[in-house]
Amino acid sequence: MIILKIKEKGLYIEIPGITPFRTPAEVNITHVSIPLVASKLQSQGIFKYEIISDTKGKEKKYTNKDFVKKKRIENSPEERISALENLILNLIDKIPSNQNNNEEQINKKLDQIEKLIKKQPKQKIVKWTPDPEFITKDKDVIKKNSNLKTNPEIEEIFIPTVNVDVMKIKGDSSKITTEQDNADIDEAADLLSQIGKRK
Amino acid sequence: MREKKEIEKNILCLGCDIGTMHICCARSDSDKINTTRNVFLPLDNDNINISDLSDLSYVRSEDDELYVIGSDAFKFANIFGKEVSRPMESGLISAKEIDAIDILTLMLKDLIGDVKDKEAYVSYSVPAEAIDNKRSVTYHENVFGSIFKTLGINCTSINEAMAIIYSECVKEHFTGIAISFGAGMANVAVSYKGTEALTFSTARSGDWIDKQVADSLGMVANRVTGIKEKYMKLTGPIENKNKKTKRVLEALYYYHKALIEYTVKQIIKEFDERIDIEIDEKLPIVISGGTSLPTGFTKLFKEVISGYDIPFEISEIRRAKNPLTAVANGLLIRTISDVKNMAK
Repeated sequence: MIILKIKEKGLYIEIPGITPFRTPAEVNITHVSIPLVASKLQSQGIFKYEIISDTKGKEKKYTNKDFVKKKRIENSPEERISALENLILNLIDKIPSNQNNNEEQINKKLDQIEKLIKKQPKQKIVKWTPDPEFITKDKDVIKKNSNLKTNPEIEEIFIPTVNVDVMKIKGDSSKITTEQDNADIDEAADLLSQIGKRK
Repeated sequence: MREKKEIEKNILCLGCDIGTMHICCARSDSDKINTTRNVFLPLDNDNINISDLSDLSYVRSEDDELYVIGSDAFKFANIFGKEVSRPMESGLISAKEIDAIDILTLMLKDLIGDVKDKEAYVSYSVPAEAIDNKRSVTYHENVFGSIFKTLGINCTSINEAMAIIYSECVKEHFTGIAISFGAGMANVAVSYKGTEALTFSTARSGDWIDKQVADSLGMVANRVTGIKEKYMKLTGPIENKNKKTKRVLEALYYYHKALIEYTVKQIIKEFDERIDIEIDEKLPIVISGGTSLPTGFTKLFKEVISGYDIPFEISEIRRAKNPLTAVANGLLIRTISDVKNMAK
């Protein structure tokens, strides 16, 4: 059996192959592939979870860390340009002084440098400017453009829809029935109604 | 059967008490209140034949999962020493149970009965925000709103303890203090002429008692509940001769007393801090809820409260006529009253 455990409260999670559920929860995901579960959770921004696989008494635990792709460490564009400058300087230094007049040699080196420069990312380094849709004032972000589409009510999104058409209830043995006096109820409702009107 | 204006107009009024341990429904066109336990028990279908379930109430899901529901689930779990699953905990919809909402919807549908071709209105109970628990009631309130809409019923949420005022304080014109000792919470309302002056809840009630006793004696909580419901008396000597049961009953007494002490202290504190108006009248205290069912509960409450300096004058301390159905009854009164006002 493979169990997915999420302790964080208040998340509504949809994973293909299992009924959508709300956290905190422990869900049986035996019939769903573990990488699929991990990628779905990651796409929904959920990183704190445990997947416990118990096969023939051997328990294995997986967390988000087990599924994170190890990213290649990339230097910033400034660092790369600086490295390239050093490379060019080194190349120029390596040109022997007695070949100073050898145009062919120099052109060859310059071609190499051009190639290197062309391989650099096309990304521009620009100064960050705030989004024109927002202006900041006293730390509060104020929305400037009122025509922006508003999101649906948060409550509406999180209240689950109920569909019990596919479920059936059988038997009638669980109900207990108590008699009540309806005359008293009507009198009380009349009085409450009158008091309500006086307010 | 009543022949009222509501029926002539094809309007059906309902009162639904959605408690942690029981769900209770009263209808304006019936003299009967239906109650069921708000519990279920998932079954391992590999070991069960459908014929074994012929005498039980159960739910079959789309994936062929089987759940015994209501009182049958409770009996079944006690026989096999299992813990029942609870759609609600501490008075609110449970975050632990994934199937809770679907099963609750089915149980409610079954309990309410036929509403086809009727213009149905329901008042359903919600607890007040707890003063000792951070959980919000908003999600709970909206989930049940959604369930009733699914069932085609117009709905309004009403504070649980206020419903007791509507049911039990008619002669005082809806002035009084109601305390609902339920399973998950103790709900308190102070009402003056039908207006809420103060409502709050505490997360300590019947389940808290059962859990404390179970932890103290190393037992399963629903076994403690079973013993409590079968043998518990809060007056006189313990007559049960079984040594283990006797220990449970002793522990239950201590924790009932501790629960009452705690609730009384909270009432005094909240009254002092939040009530601004001067109430000249003496107030009745009405005690209700499943946890107040054991014989002697009201007497013990009177004994405990007499030891405290109370910031209001008490006219009387009495138990609701039926502590299990008072909330549903009060909710039905409120629905009928609202519908009458709406019609005028």
